[in-house]
Amino acid sequence: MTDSDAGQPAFIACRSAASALYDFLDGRLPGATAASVQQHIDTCAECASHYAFARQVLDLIPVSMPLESSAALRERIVQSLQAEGYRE
Amino acid sequence: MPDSPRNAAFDAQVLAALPHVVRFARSLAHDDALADDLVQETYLRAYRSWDTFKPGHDARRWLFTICRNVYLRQRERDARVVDTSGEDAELESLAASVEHGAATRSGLGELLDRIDVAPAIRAALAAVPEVYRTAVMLVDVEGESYETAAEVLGVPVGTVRSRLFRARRLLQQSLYTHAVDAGIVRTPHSPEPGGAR
Repeated sequence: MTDSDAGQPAFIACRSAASALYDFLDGRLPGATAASVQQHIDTCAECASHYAFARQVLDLIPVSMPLESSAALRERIVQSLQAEGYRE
Repeated sequence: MPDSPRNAAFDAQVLAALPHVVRFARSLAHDDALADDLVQETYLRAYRSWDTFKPGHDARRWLFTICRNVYLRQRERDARVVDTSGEDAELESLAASVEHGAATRSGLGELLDRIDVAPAIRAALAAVPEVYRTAVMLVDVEGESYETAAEVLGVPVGTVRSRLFRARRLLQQSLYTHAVDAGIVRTPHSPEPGGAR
């Protein structure tokens, strides 16, 4: 990918857009590169679909993995710590 | 109430993080009983070395590091099973770009509306090799930065990036396969309804 000319985002191909997918979604691209990727997905239906799907999956991952709380396990851990000197 | 400042601080910072450590341990061990043992051992080690913990540091990050180290030691023999020598985000991205055209044409975009997505993602993530799965757990589930994940895993930030890339791609691939197996989406080789392609 190249930097923009005269402030306009540089043209990039689908392959470059696919390569930049997660860096873009994670906000880790420099501004000019991110602008080029944004311009590409604004004008390429296939890449827009790919990006949208990847974004959806990334959003769903934490929702699909709820926090695990177990009173029994906490009690077991506290008991083992008490043998080491811990007092609740 | 904890009976000393030492215990109070441990209670507030370390025991409070228990649900996160349990989730992380279960992603490593798969088996709930083994994961519980792993969490217990993590907390014992944390308590024994609590004096070395620097106030103000991130206790959760510290616990993840201990937990992963305990886990790796427990399964040292299997730790070299996955070949990560090909960790190259560029190569991964090229493979992904080839796949993605076929996938989007076959209805992948609608997949998430049509499957019970949480169990599917959990199953898909469980199938991802541990070295890659851990990167997803730290960054995508726990919301840690690439830099923190690199610190916990003891690898460069670039390795976290490439592991994430591969893990996420495997995850998407697995969801796609799940949908194909369930007859929810067509494969790229399926005939178009009503005629030739």
